[in-house]
Amino acid sequence: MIIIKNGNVCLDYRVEELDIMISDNKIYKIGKNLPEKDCIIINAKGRYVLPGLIDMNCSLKEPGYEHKEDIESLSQAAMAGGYTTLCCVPITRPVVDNKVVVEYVTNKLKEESCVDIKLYGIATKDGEEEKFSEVSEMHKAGIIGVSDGNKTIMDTFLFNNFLRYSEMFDLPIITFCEDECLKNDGVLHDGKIAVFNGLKGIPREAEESIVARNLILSRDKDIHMHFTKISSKYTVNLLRHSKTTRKKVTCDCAIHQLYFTEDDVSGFKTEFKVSPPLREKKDVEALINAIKTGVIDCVVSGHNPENIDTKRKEFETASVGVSSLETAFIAGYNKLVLENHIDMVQLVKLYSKNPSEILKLSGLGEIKEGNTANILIFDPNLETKMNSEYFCSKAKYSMFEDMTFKGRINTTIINGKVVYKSK
Amino acid sequence: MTKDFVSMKNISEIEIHNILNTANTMKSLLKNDKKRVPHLSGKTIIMIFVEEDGQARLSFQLASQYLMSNLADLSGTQSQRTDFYNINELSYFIEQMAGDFIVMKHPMSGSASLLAQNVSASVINVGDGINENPTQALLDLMCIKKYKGGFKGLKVAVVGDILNNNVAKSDIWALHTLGAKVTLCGPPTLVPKVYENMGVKITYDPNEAVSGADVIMSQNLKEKEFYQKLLPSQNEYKKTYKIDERMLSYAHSDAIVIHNGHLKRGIEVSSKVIVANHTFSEDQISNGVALKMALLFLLANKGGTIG
Repeated sequence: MIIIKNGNVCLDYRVEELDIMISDNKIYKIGKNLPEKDCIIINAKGRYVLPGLIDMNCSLKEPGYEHKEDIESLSQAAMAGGYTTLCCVPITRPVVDNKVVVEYVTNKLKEESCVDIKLYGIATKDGEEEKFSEVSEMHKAGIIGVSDGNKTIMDTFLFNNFLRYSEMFDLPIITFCEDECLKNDGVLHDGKIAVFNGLKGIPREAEESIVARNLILSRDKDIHMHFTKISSKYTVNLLRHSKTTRKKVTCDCAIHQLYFTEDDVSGFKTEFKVSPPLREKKDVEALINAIKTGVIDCVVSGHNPENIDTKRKEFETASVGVSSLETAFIAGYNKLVLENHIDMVQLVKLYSKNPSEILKLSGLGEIKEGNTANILIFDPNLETKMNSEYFCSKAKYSMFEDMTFKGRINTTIINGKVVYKSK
Repeated sequence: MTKDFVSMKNISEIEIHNILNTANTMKSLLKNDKKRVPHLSGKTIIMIFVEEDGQARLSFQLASQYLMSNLADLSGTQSQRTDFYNINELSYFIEQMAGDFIVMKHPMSGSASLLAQNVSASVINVGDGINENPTQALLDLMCIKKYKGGFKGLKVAVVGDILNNNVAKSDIWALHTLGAKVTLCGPPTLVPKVYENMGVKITYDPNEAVSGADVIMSQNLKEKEFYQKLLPSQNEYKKTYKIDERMLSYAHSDAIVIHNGHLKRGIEVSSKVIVANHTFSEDQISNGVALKMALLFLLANKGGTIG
């Protein structure tokens, strides 16, 4: 048994100094002055004790792209960042588009990863726009959602039929919105930096038009649609309006969208080449405001590790890789809590509770007796300087390079076992 | 002058004038019987044309010979060398060749500045994607300076495809630095509103753009097929944007028309205007050679003047 003493425990509506007793892999008891007999004691005085973080948009590269990230390095990175559950976009090789692959990858994950890595199935066969994949079979094999693989399905007829078909099971549909035609080989936001650097831009409309399309297509269907990695101010407006009447519409944004703008890309800085592109100050402000008002349900890491050789090259062909599992939470804490936009309870909702509710992950996302003992101890008194050289991930680069943040991930506990402890 | 010449954005007014003046000196040198001068003796120029540009290549070849430098041309092998598209590999390879100058034309924006960061040689940009072509822009500036004497307060109308034209971008940056008032004009698909960020005015009405202009720059169109989703036809383009006498009647009476690159006669500029304007009979090659000699000389001497 483990007992976490005197931590500032983040409960559903409040933060309170409490003890947590962990027995086997469950949270056994929460209370004051719990008996310490026969327990391993973790002193958490002055530290936050939070439910383990859940990332809704993270890329798994194994099988197929182990050189970019394998299961081991991914799970190490997750633990170092405080994540205990990752929900992965299915762009592996082979693509997660049938039951056999789901079973194979799930078994592999169980053997090789401490972190609970869950899979989305891909909506279309091979990720191509010809037919949709066997979602029902994959559902039985254990996928927790269906994703378009961070690539919009442009064939509206196919997509509409897929949504109709999806009414037969209760799985959230994770859609990434970017119109390929409007994107037209663009590589960054269609704004002044695109002009200054002679690069082709991706207009906001590329995102907004698909968000609007998907909202319309899902309107009269009994499905849960989740919009992932939104970036535009006007997308926020669309979703705000739609969420006033519809329950089964949710969305997330990536952490770097709250920090950086197109100006950071200036001078062909490929670390800041991401998908969707970094936009303008007004978009950043709108996203933060949307978080405050509850329009945005979750903040994701958008971790998409790519080889450094494909990242540090000429801007047009450089990859849109992001390495952010190890920075996402600390950056979010600094931006949202320390700048007084939201409080710690709301931050935990963004990073843990809301994802677990959207994806219906029972026993996760909340510190509650009987829940799985996935816990993060976060020390707000120390500082962390971001140095990608020491990343556990194979993708050793970061947009947050050399930035110093308040707070440090102290301990990560998964299934009642301490899997990470900061030095 | 800085180590490289990759963009017009960070070149000062004095530097531009310095290059143009040096080019004029070089031009008078070209009129001599004995053209060779040992200014770059012992230096090596490496040329990489991942995209073909016959005129620029020829003028650099001549400039190199007149300045008595060594020349290595890697362009001929480009069809086999797909790794030339990768600047990191290319710069590693080039660095070992220990050249003093690298002249490059590459299909990707930003490639020249990335190469410049990675090599110790001076990089001269002859076009990086749709970003910039400062070397070619100097030719336009040389022509304006010859006919107008200077740039301050000049009204310049730039007509044509701005979006896909790297020379246009360099022209605009330089003219802005030199104090000219620039108006861009063309169909909205080729002249997006976002270009106002460059500190210029944008209009879709050619008569308004040309009204009172001292200089009209025609930016060349690419081949017809390129515009399939951008323009209905070149026929419709020419009905509105062809520079003809009627359009010129709105301009200043001694306005000049400038065009560089492959002119589409009758689509971009009317035959009558071509005949009537001296600028079209300018000796582009010898101007180009003189400019390139000036650039190489100044970069080698970190901005020193001749004599």
